[in-house]
Amino acid sequence: MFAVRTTDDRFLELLHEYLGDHRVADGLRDQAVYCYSADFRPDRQLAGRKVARGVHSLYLQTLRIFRGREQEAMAGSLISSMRELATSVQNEFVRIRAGSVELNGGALVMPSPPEGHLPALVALLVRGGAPYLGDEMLRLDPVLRRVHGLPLPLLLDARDLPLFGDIRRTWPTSGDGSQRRGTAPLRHPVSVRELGASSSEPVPVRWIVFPRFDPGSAARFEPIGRSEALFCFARAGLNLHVWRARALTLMHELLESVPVSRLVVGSLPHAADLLLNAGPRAIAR
Amino acid sequence: MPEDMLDDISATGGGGEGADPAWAAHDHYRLLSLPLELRSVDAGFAEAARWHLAPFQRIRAEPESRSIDVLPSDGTGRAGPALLYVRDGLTASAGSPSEILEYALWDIYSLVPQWCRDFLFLHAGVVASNGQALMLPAARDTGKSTLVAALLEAGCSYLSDEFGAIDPVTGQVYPLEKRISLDQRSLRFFTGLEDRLEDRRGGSEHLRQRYVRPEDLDATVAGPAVPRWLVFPTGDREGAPRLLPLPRAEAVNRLAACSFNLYRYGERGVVLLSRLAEAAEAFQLDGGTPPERAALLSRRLMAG
Repeated sequence: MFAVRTTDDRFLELLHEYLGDHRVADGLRDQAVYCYSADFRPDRQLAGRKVARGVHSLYLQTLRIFRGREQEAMAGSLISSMRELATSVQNEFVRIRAGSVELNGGALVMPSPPEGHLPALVALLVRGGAPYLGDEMLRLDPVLRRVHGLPLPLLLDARDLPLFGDIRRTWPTSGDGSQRRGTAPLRHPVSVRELGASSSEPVPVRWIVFPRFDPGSAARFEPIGRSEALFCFARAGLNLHVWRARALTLMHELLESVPVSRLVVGSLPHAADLLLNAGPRAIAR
Repeated sequence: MPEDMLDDISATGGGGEGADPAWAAHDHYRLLSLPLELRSVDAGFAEAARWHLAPFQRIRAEPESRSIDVLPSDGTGRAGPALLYVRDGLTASAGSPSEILEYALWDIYSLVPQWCRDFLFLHAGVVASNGQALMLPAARDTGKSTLVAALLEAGCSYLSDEFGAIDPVTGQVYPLEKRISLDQRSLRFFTGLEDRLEDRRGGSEHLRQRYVRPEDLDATVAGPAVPRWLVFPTGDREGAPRLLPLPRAEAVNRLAACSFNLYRYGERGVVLLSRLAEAAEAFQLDGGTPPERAALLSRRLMAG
């Protein structure tokens, strides 16, 4: 249970757009385990008609987890934190860092090291008609070998938002996505509804693709050896300290049972098109 | 526990904030996927805890360790200086060192099925023979632990006297090789066993139960094993021991009733139990003493 308090009601309205399905009655506020506090500072008028935009902060309990000027980016930070806290104890699943969508009744799973553009690749697939499972974190059910998604919005790198300029954003971006060098990339929530798509029920793993982001390269599939695939899969594990060798057993079984490829991602849209076109053939095998 | 001592128990921890109480011991343990950090100001308590938790001791701390601190209290208990048992910052109990040891063992083992979501847990004794597991799912006071001890004496290897930890990936049952806890009166079934026990040393001398290591019964600890037999012992002690075959559906029902954490797995947990029942033979076990039951199981199921 999470509680959010803020000095600006508009932030709650923004959160309601993306987390409204998870809202509970105010009477349960005392049961909140984690409390987020959003502190919004007003713009200041400076000499020469200049305006210094207010810098806002988001705290989890007493720890500041965001400092910036955009409400959407703060919402992205809050949702990311919330997602991490909610799933970190769900060790009945093998959790992996991966994007995933459903293709022809099976899950395309894209395990990856931390990669800011992975959610955008997933969003392009979702916009292309593939039901959504996860943008960068998945739960693998070890009993039925199914992928369980998360009913939360995607968190897109702000630099990738221009790829989705044609979609009708419920909450238009207020900033230009620029940020100071050396700071973590800003992430904006984008709902499945905004992408004009739907979320998927848990489905079996049917295709595993390891994306390698290489801007400027032509999007293409490459073969990947089983050992390297297992290494890449393990590297994407988020709770291997819990499952240990059993996670490797599960990953090995999955790699042995479905088609496995590497995908060089130069252009995100081209890569998404490649996956959507090749998907039905790959999963039918 | 004296009531005035309970009045002093606070929800914010028994020790002073930031004060180092001069730890006499600082140990680390891992029970399946539950990492623990145990600190104590009482050397006797720590030594006794080490004996009980020896199969799970680790050299160094692990990520996400749950913390258990045994701290001094201001009051006094019935037998010697009183201690406070604080887990994850919350004071949970207070008492003499032996009372705290008893509470600690109960609390730590209760924590395992709550914390270790990566296993489906049954309330079951588990032994192995020829690399195959025999599970004894049952409610309390059906003689599980005594039957487990009798099976070890009959030549089986040990996994657990209380927890059947089923791995969802492989379907194997994993060992949680805690000390086997027996009532004093159960020792009469094992000739010479009481003389070999070392459980009364140090801070353990006032514990109500007796604690048996596998090696006290000349047994070893088994590795993970696929369950081959599911035997549901009942409290019926009348007559000679007898095995009644159970249909798979009934076995699944009884397994579900014995599960600690089936609620975490839901439908998937029922699938897992169904697979277990599909691959194993299931029986109800009535009648007989624990050694007689063990002899029957050895003869009928595990011979050859």
